[in-house]
Amino acid sequence: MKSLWIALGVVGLIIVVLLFVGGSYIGTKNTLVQKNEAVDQAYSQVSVVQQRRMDLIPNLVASVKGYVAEETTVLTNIANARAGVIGATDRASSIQANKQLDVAISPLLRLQEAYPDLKGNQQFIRLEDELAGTENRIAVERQRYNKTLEDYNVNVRQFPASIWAGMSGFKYRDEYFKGDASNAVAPKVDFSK
Amino acid sequence: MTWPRRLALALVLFVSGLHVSLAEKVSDLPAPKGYVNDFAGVLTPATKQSLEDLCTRVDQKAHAQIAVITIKTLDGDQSIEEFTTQLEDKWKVGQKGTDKGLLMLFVMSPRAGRIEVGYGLEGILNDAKVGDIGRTMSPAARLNDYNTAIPIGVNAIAQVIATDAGVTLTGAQPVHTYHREKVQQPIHLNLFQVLIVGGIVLFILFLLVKTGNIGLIFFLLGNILGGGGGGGRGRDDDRGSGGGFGGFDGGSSGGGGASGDW
Repeated sequence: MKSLWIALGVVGLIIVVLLFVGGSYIGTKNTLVQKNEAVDQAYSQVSVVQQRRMDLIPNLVASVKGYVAEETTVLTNIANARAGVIGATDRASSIQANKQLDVAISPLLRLQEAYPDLKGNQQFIRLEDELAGTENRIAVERQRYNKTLEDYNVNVRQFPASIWAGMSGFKYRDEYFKGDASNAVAPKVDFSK
Repeated sequence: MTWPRRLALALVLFVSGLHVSLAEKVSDLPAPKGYVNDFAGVLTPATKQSLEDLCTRVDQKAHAQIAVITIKTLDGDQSIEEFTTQLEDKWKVGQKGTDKGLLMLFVMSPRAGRIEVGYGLEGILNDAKVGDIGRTMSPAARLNDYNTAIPIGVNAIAQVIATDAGVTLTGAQPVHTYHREKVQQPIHLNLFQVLIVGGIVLFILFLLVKTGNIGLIFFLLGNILGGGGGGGRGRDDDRGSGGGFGGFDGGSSGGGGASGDW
């Protein structure tokens, strides 16, 4: 009689453990599905604002053409970087190409320092507003995307979810927007010129 | 003076020293008391009142919320864009869903201004238009005459919003509507009820196991465990609904708008 109770207890314990393991697996998997979708959603938001910038560039370039020498490196760099973004196929290369465009486009925001005539150009001023606004939108959406991705990655790597994540095929995604490496070096200021 | 005392004194001095800085941080700003929040103290009561009336009319007639904020200075290396986005994340100007909100921030020194446009207003207030409105404010702002500058900007924006919504902002006094939110009563159970519910749950579990639906149990259990912490999120701010201002309603923005020297 006593052994029957022990056997029943063991079976009961096993059932309880199985219930919790199964529940934890399904719970984790559902959470990860949600977070994975959230990452993709946040990235699509980044794409939208980056596309906005791509559409803006031809207008901006057209508005400065009359003032700036045609072959200026600024415009060439922008054209090259833009072509790189169009040519990017997957997310990692698109992130990389857009980072190059970030660097190429920033002199455009300071162009009126080199060409004072531009200050009087109403169209240029308004396009500058649009570009500055777009750059800011990109910064905001990238920051939100990075946060969402971090949330997902923490979930994938934390124990015990990491076991279930591995079993159901959710991997760590290293698709962050990082700052440009060249920005880490302090700029040299030369007063001798 | 004994050692612990000295240590305590040093600690107090250190902590109070941290709070002496004059720069505003988003986390230190109090909750909004109205549409106009003049933290820098540059507006006369009359200007403030007329702006408040205008923003109330815009909110009630066109369902868009305008927040006007003045601060003395920004904290260290924070840009005005970052500050405004953070503030919008905290205050949530605009209605949830439509996101028709707008923030006008004025920093006194060094002089800077920014108009941040919520997602729902980006269509009618594009960056160039907002920049133009900012530039119309800048002559007065440069003379530190914010009592002239800010109404110019708010009027221009209110006009754009009203035209789009097809309403006129002048005329009839706004109608105040009050609505009380329901408070959920906690449910009280006695032992008998708990036993009955527990019995039913056990019976269902037994039935499921008996009919080979163990997978369904896992599914239910997974949902319960996975969904934990998701519930119980209601309106997390209590607000007095006296007068026209009933608090901001959960809008969001994505960094649209324009900044400049105004």
